[in-house]
Amino acid sequence: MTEDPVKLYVIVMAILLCVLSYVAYDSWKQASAYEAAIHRAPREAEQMKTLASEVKALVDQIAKSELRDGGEKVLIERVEKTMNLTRSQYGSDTVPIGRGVKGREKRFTYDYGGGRGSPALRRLEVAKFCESVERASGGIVKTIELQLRRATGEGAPEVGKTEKVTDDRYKAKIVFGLRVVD
Amino acid sequence: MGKSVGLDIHERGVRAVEVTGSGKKFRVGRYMEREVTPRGGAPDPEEMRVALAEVFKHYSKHHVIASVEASDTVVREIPVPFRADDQIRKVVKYEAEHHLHDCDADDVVVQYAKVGESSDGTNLLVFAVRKDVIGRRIEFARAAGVEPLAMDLDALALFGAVKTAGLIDESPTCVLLDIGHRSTGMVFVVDGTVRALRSVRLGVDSISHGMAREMEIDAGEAGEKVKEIAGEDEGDLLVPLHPGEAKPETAKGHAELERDVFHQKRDEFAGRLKREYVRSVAALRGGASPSRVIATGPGLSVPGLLELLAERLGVPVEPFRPSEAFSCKLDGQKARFDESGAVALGLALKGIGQDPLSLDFRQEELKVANKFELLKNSLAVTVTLLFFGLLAFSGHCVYKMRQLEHQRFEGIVDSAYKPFADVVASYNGLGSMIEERHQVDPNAVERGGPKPEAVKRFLQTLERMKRNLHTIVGDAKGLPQITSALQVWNDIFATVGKLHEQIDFVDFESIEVTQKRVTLVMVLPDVEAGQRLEEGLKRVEFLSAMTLEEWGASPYPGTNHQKITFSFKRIER
Repeated sequence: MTEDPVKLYVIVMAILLCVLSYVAYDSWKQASAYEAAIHRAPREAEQMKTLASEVKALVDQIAKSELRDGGEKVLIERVEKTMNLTRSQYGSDTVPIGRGVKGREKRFTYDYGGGRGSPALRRLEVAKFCESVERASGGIVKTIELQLRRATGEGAPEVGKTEKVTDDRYKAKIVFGLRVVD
Repeated sequence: MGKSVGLDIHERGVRAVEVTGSGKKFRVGRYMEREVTPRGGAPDPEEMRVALAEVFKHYSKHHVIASVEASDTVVREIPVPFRADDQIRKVVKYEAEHHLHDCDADDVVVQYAKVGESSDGTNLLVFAVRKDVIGRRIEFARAAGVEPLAMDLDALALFGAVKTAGLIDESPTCVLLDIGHRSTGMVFVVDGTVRALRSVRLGVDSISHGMAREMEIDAGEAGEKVKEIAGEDEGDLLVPLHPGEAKPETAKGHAELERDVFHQKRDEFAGRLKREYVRSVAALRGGASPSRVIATGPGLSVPGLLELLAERLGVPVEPFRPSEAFSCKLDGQKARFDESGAVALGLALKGIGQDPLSLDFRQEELKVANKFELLKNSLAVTVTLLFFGLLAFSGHCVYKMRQLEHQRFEGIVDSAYKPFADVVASYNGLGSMIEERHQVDPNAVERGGPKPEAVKRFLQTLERMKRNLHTIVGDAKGLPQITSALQVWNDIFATVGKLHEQIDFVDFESIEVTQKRVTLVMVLPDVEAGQRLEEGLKRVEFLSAMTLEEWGASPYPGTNHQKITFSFKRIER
């Protein structure tokens, strides 16, 4: 330890100076940030208003759909029940949207016309079913795949008819899907 | 602007000069001298301390260059077999040792100046001063709280002052005479460089001492008589050149007799000085002949001495008057400065860079080792001022921050929080559509307090909510769009409906619509109908972005019709 009081004083003051420099710098930085924030405030307030209204519009869009009441599966099956359709098979899965894209896709697969108790569907029934689901979900749930195969046997159409036939029956596989946040 | 103090410490006192400015442009600001009683050839330490303390009441202590007397120095010209300075520096001390008969090389500080080069190496003028002599002078200065930054010989300091005044350029081969009280320094300059240095134990005190002996009075009284004589008309004091015209001794008064004794002693002094001068000039190598003698020191006040010396030496002897050569502000000290201030001036000039020989006798253990010691007081003041300055600044910043925080920012955050909280409530209210981990804590921002980050966080959270909602709705930026397969199916049927009359009939065997592929298998009357239908299908919006990967036709069993397959595949980009 030094015996020179001036030297000791200089050392202590130098240490204090370092600490104080940091405190002063920090205070200055914070004060500058406050000033900048106040300067930015009117612009940011405006930005917030715009953003809040955009979010509100999206929330309203989703809120209007019937998805809120139990989710997408409940919605699809409610429509199915209303139309008195009987499925032969059901499956669901969740897959990533794709390479480089954040998010997942939920898929619900319904098969109709797979045998007894599950009659093949008319084209109009398929169209109405898909349309009802899409509309009820506010466009959020979409028909992402559709497979129709002409049904054979009873109710099968006669090939080569010249008039427009609307009651041909088809085995249908319908996949509904929607995007979810990852 | 630089400030330097030259401190000439000699056995009878101190002289100090302050110079302000740079090496190119400077001004002599103040000159002071204080006398002390010499004791056994050295100044009394206590008296010296008091004298220095008094002097440094008026001068800065931070940039002081002090002197060492040439009379304490051994000067020799020696040859060394090197030319490079670093090599010379390594050996000079040990080369000089051969010429130092009464002391060890470790007891002296050795400095040198190059005086010429030969085919074998370099001729050096070597100066050796005992370390205890230098140390004693440092102690004198330290006792008064002064730490000299460098030390130089008084004779070399005189050379520096005369050279800076431009007199060496006028007379490159000359002799500088510093006629002191007890000794006289001689600097022999040849072709603008110092070639020899001598200090003769012969000063103007020898005149008063001689008078004292002759007149049987004490030395102090004799000194007063010399001053009295000097105060009278200098014209009458010239040495009587025609002794035949002199009055007989019996006819002379007391004052005339005193003058005669003075003249006699002055003649003796001049004669002895001439002998030393002639001997030294004769010893100069190359037979250089000085064209001029430049004199300074207390000897200048001895009336008629310079004229007498000029006559005896056979060269012009001129006084060096620094006040005429440099810009000065001396307030009544001009005469004293001109007579005795040249050495101190040379030292001060060394401090501002006018240093022709660049010698420093503070070497080895005498070196100014710890610069901190020199600067610590200034440093203490500086750190104190900085500390309080920074304290005030950070206090100001904190105060300003608090003001902003409480008076202005609180309001801004409050006004922003309300709409934010409303949106968060409805967002979280979407239930199963927003997984729990994606829900927003409505209190998170509020807990952060009214800080600038709060609004930034509001904005970031809103952006995240918006992105999530866009993903759910399916139109987020960068997200591939889902095209409803129902829509595609409707478009295909609308196209087929338009072509129905042209192609008679169309029966769909199967339809498969996915996001990447559309496959249609249908029964048509003939291949031509298939081709017509293909043209129509290519105009369907979804299919127009696809390529027709497969087109096949085959007879439909049991009929004349064709079973035609269209397979479209999305073009991957």
